[in-house]
Amino acid sequence: MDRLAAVRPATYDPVRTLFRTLLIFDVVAILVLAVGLGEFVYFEQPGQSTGVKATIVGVYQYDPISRTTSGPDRSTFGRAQQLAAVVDWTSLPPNITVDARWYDSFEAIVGHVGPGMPAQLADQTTIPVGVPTGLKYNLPGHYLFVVERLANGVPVEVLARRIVLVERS
Amino acid sequence: MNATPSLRAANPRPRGRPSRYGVAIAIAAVVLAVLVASSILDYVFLDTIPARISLYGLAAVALVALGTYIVVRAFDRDPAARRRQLIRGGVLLGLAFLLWLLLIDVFVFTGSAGPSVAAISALACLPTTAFGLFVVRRLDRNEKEPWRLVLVAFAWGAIVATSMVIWGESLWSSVAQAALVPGPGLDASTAFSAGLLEELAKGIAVLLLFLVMRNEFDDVVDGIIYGAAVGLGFNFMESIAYMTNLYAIFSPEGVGGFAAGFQWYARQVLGLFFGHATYTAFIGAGIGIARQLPGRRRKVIAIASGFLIAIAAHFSWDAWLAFFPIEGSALGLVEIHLRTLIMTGPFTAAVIALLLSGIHYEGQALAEQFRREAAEGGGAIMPAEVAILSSPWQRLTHRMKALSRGGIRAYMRLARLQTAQLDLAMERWHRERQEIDTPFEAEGELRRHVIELRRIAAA
Repeated sequence: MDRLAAVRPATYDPVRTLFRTLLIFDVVAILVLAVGLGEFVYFEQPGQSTGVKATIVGVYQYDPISRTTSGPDRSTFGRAQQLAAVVDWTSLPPNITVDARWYDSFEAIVGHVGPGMPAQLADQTTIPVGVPTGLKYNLPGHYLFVVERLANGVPVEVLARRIVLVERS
Repeated sequence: MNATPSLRAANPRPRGRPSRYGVAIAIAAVVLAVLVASSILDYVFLDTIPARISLYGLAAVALVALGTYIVVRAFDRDPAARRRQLIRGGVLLGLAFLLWLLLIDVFVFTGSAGPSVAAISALACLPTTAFGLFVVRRLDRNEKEPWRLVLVAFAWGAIVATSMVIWGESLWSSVAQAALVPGPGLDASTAFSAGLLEELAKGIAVLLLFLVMRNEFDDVVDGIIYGAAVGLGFNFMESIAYMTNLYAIFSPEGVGGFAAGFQWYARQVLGLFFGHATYTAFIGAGIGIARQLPGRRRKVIAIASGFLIAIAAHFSWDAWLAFFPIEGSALGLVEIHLRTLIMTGPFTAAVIALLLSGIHYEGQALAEQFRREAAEGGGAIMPAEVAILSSPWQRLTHRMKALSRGGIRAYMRLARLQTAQLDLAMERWHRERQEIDTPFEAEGELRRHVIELRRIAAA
């Protein structure tokens, strides 16, 4: 009975409850970040580097009516100017699946060819930037052009990349 | 006062452990050193517009640091010197704020959107942000945080935190864009960078308040309020940046005003509380809970937990926003609200749950301290006042009665008395929990102050 009398009820401390609640939210946070990490690893698969390099001949002013490029290779364009990248598909091994994409400064795809084997894309060497639907000009900012290798339909390696600036004026 | 000796159990700092002021100075020094070094490196190696802002923005950061130091020191001085110090600190903080706005205008938007668009954007964001700050401060129903600290938290979020992340995110973005495959992987990387860097930059403000202004940082409720204030500051500056930037991008298409207006609605109405305010409130919650936990290990876990949840909440929005595309039709209006509710709503609900629990617990603890103080018969709290002081609604009712009886002066006198009584109960509560390092005499001083205010109120 003495031992029983010595047992005092544990003092309830609401701060501990708050702390435990925080730890439960922590588990959710860890799950969220783990899913994010999984997503990153799925799209950035390690060990995918083949050492293959694609050749981007250049980025030029583009005429959408004649579908031809003109002028010198440039890194800066006015927003009223149309632009296109030219890729040399013959520089790539024949047995890989590739595509080429333009991303605008909002990371939206604004032009692409592929996916396909380099031979299948041989007649699509010019990849223009498309003006977004409903707009008159290209959006200003940095545009990223990439030639990618795909595995199981997912881009896994960048074989070439170019960044050009579309100016605001 | 018979129970007094048992309450003498303060929480003296163990020998050899650095004081919280020492830790705060070390954190502030590291922040400044990293900021200066990285800004200079950024400027030299990247030479982009944001990099230039971060370099020239150092002047604004230095002004904020100096202004904050003077404001904080002002409260250790006698009232005559305090006023002068507060004015000096306020002027420096104001200058820093204006300088930062000016830098953004000059280096980013003047050439495209123009200073008038930046000024209109800032003016449009002011009332909504002020409303947000007012609501957040009102949430603490028992002991409202002083405006000076709420505004310091806001200023840190708006100026210092935004300045800190510009260089970090620019660098991360440059490296990621050169190394990663564009698409969801790169999006996830960018979201990790935003979550990590922005929450760290904002959270440091709450951590510094916790270390330096312990008397005004009582529990989870205070932490959530300071955290949300920092988040509102960050959101304010980010809103202006996005509004002016999108205006500049879309004005040649004739929809610049619409693009800026949409950003204003998304960030200043829909996202006012469902965004940065929620994320940083989690950091504040973690620090506020740590404030009342025994043992250094648990404190560290609580603080780290707050940061982790904030980073995850921020990450989830940035990384998975693209999975909820918005249609261009009228349905898009419904979708944009649903998207915010689904993606950030659960996190906001969680922080509200922590806040409500904290308010409930704080109210109970203060009521208990009112009862004990009244029972001790020291004269600071009368038995008849316990029920009134325990209820925010009853406190307000009595102040309103004083207003109708004796005008604004009587109202203010009673308000000061009630605030001092709440301060006394809070001091008792922290001393009982052994989470205070001020000498016991401070409690006696508070008690004498209450009795003096009671005498003035009765006069």
